Amino acid sequence: MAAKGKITVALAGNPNSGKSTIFNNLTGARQHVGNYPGVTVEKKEGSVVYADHEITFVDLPGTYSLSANSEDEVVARDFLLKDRPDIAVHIVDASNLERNLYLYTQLQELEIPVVLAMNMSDIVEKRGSRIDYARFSRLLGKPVVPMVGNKNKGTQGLLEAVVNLYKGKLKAERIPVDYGEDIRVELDKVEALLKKEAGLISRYPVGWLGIKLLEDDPWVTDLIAQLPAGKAIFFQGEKSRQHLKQHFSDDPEVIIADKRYGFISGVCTEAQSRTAEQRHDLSDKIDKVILNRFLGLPIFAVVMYAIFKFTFTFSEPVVGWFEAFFEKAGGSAARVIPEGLTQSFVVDGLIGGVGGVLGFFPLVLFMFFAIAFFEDSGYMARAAFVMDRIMHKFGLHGKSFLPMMISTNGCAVPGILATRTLDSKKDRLITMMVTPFMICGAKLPIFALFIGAFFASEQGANIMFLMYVLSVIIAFVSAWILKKFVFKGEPSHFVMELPPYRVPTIQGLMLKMWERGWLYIKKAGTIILLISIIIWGGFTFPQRETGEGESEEAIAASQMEQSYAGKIGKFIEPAVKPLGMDWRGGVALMAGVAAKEVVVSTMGTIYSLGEVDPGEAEPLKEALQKDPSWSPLKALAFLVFCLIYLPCFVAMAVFYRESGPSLKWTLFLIFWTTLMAWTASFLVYQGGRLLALGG
Amino acid sequence: MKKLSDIKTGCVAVIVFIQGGRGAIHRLTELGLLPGEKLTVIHNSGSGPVIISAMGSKLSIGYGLAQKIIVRGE
Repeated sequence: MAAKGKITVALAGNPNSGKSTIFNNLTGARQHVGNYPGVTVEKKEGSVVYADHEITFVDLPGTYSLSANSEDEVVARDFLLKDRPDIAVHIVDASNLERNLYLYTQLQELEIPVVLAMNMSDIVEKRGSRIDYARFSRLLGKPVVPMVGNKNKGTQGLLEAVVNLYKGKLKAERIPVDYGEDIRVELDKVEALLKKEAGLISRYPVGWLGIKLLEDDPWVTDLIAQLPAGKAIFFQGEKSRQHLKQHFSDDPEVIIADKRYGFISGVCTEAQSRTAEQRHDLSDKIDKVILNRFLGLPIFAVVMYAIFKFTFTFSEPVVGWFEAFFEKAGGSAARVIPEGLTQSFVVDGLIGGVGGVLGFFPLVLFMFFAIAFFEDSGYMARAAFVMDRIMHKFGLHGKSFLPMMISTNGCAVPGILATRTLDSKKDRLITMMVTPFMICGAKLPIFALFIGAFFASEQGANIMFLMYVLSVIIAFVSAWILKKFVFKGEPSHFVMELPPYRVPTIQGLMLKMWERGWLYIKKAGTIILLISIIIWGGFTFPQRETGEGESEEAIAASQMEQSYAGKIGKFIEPAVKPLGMDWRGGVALMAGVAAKEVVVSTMGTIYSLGEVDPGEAEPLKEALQKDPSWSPLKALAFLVFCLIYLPCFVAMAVFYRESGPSLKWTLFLIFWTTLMAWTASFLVYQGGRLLALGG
Repeated sequence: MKKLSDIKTGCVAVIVFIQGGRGAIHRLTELGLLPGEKLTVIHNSGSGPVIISAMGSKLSIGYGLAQKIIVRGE
């Protein structure tokens, strides 16, 4: 049966309110991730059919308010104002009611019907407090649904409330915040002028415009300035602001916020029974240890080490199965397809290239799982606190830690986007500049491959850990130099909520892991596939004439050297020779700028093409081990280069857009990362040789 | 009156005013840190961020920003 009505619902809420858990409960796997038009903030959509209605949920970015002070807030507000969803569901952490309801007071001013989803209602009860939901609903004039997101309770109730509100069975009544006589008088003056602008008030609620004007909201001020009669409205707004400022001897924005909190506090006192003082809960006890001045950093180091140990130790056998699978697949394909270009294309180009990258899929999944665990438990916010003091010494910011963390094992692209939470432009640029140094999920296979090939397996996790430490050192030193010589000035403010510790749900972790893991597979199937084909073509053409009496090995080797890709590699060889690399390393690195996994797929193609009998292809790891032109020291120098050099194309494109867009800073980034990579790699290789650690 | 950054761990204080620009005021306002709000200092080591508990949850405030929040002791 076809759905009768289509309902668009926006999900709004604070960060840490459990919004994404509820979004997952509501839509299950039927999600679609895209971008909001014009910006790179992720837009998640999902739909569900309930009671004959097709309901599409749009997950807005988590924000504390709807002013225009950060990109996330602007995105959330624009969606509510311009796309006009039928209903907004406000997800409230009921155990942190007052702060969460601040967003509500702004949401309702946008005149969209609101349903309040009171999440974590179980925690409220556990604390011995009680919320009278019926009374709460009456006081706010909105449908209220108690929920427990991480136990998937209340999902049906919420869907029902949404449909009933849409059908008019439930009513959302507007009970505005009482701003008091003085503000009211000034608001009336401003609104009287605004009401003459028919075009404007058909698009935006007049009451909202008025209050925003008194708050001196930059976005609304700009909007007014564009009107023919804008000047008069603007002057009235200024006059009213001045008047209020004198009257209250405080900033109008602060007074308005104060009235909103007053309203909230009134509602909470009436609808919530509180038991005496809040007891010292478990979170406080854990924090005493984790945030301890002396223990904080060691604990942080142990947590990081645990993540790597977990990832590498547990994923090892699974990665082995995947490798064996692709090896077999290559062998079978070689037997089925007759010798020639087609066979080479499938075995060397596709299986050798993409297979090499997919082989590390389990490792990436394990890593995502471990990271998701520490994110959902509430530890990551503490880690930012613990790191702040060190970050400061290097001219970074406690908050810079989060973009770097997102980039580590994740991806530099969301990492660069996450720098938006930094208020000052200088802090943002420095953090954006150093974020790509982190070992992202795409670099992971390179490290896994080379460490697996050249170092004993007991040492593997340790060397990997050292690489992470090195990436952090490079980022810090880099930030320090940039701060000292390029971006001078004081670091800006930082304030962040520390959510209570929570036991992550398996479902939530799995979804997060899968979401990120799926992106990895998608990338392997699209961009990496495409580049693997180009790389294979680059090594295969132009086809060389076979001379009489040449051995097959010699033919394969010279074919590669005189191919297009080989010639490019030979051309850049002098630049990478001092780093212990030959032309093959150079080609792999160049190709890796398209996407870092391509370093592995290119190596796969090179070694697979060099194989005489494709039916007996050995894993890339073994091929590297046997190649006399590599050594552990060379592998290390190569990895150091991979660690630091140019971010991939996508990251550079995002950097370009986010930095201004600024071509100057993007070129600087390219120059800076190349310089750092070459220098560090040179020091490792030549230094190692001096210390006679082998050639 | 003191700066929040000078309040020792375990002490309770009330915000009197915020000595900052628009950006700082806005960030603190949306988190409920307004004049008159009572807070408890959970962690202050004299350098690095200060952790406070206010309005039922914990906030980590950078040292620079904590110097701009003027409070009186309880």
